[in-house]
Amino acid sequence: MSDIFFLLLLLAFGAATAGILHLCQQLMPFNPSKKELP
Amino acid sequence: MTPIGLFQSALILGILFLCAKPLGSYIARLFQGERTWLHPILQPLEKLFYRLAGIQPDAEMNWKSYAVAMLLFNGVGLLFVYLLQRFQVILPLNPQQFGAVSPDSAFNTAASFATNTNWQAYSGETTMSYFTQVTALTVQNFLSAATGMAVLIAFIRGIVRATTQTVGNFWTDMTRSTLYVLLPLSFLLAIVLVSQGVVQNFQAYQTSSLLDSTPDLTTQTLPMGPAASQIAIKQLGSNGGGFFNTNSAHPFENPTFFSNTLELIAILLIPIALCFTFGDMVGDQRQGWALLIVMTLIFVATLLVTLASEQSGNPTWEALGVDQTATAWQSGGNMEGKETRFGITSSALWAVVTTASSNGAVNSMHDSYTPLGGAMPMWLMQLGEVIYGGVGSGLYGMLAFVIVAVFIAGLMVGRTPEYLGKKIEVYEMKMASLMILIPVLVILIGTALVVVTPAGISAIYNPGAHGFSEVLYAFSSAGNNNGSAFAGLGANSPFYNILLALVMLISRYWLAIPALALAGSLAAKKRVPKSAGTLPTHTPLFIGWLIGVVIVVGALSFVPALALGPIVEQLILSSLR
Repeated sequence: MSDIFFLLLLLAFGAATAGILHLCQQLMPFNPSKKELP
Repeated sequence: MTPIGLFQSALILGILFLCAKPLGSYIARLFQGERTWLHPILQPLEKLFYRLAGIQPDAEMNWKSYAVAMLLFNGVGLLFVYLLQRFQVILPLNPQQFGAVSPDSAFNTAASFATNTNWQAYSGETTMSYFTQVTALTVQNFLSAATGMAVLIAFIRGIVRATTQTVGNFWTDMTRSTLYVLLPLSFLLAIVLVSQGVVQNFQAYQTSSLLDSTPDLTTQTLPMGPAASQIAIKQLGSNGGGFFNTNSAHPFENPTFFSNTLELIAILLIPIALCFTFGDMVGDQRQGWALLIVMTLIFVATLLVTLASEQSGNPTWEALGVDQTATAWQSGGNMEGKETRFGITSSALWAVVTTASSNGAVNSMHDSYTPLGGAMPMWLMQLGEVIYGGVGSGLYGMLAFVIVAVFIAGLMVGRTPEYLGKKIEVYEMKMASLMILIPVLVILIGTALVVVTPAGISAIYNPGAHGFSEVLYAFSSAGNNNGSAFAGLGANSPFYNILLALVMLISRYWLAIPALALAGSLAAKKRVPKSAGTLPTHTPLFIGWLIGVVIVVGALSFVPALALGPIVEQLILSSLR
């Protein structure tokens, strides 16, 4: 297994983590970027 | 369990509570922006650092910016550790001329140290150059602990603040955690450890003549290196990665009973102090005490079981007429895999402390514990590393359980649940559930994958229930960012290195994100005034309720798996009595 494989693996994990972050934001009942408060 | 063993355990807990209280208040003052007694010395350094790094210390971040900063910082750190291992052969401070670490082992170690797990598939003294140990591993010990503390502080700010979008500044929190808390404590501890005989140098390995040589063996190679500076932060930062392969059982890492006691205290010091920090920051010390009591009661119960089990020894030896009673001349009990200079109590106490706290350093081989004695450390990890837990991560994990406990209690009495003046609603429950369920999922899926794949099974050296316990322990350790190993598992293969690295990464960052999202959501809410329907969260009733929730979740998630490993093994052993 080469260094490239692990770099790609790290990138894939990073992408999945960004997805989780996005999901947590989407689930939030208000949108922080629009400064709407509940 | 001997009276002196119980006294020793109680004394260490007493010292811990005494030291943790002022430290907790100090940390609270630090993160509330107040001056501490270290400011005259360290503030110029802090300001210089901000200037050099272009940080605006007063710029507040919302939870998402905070999370992105945390993830990017940790990602760069992970990559840095990986590259240092791969290129150590051309870097300085490599007197033993170690070659590059293999890609899969380097990836596993990088993920392990970035996530504060410190699972070690490698052997330090035969793999890592001093440069790698110092600039990659020791540095990550500081940064991963500071990351945990930063996320916790953001979480607490989420509870304390109202109708705001912001939870603090990640860069400021990281800098202050490292500069004002971790570095001074580590410096002091490293000096004391050196006084006890922990090595701290950059010399090549030494060869010495054996006092009791044989015709075939006349000399021994003694590994050297800057161990003390790494050991200090590995204990204080709940990291646990050993400089040497046998970790804290190695005489150059943990030479004396005094160093052992100091290191035990260092492991739990900051996690306990953070409960007091929490109480101070939310303006109600009783809240911090309630969480601390919950943690301590579960800790003491598991400690007593482990101590009793190890001291009672092995039933099969009883049948052979071996005297396993503790006397003035022998420690008695199950001494297999334990250092004679530590004995039963210091070993069993360490095993419980290191797994309760997400530290993972070991001073005895957990694989050699009695099934019940080994099950307790495993179960402490499986509870989610919330019984004190890692620096920061333990308390924010426990706060997720608090939210679940408050929510269930609210449902039972038909009122909107609230915690410290904040309504707990669907979103908070979703985030808390993610924090509790993700580790469970990765541990059980990882263990299942191992036992159905040839690559997984081929690394299990012990057959039957004990072999299964080794696998379950490994994934419980990685999946809760503990890092200790049961041993007896050949985990340094591409299959295990990749699988365990992914488990560590998921359980660290996919929990920190919902924790910060929870902080952001709570910070945005209005404060609800206390009413007759508010559930008090500092009373003995709530303490009992929270213990119930933690144990029921832990039991429901893992008892079926434990039944296949340590439980069946203990039943078989007991039947031989």
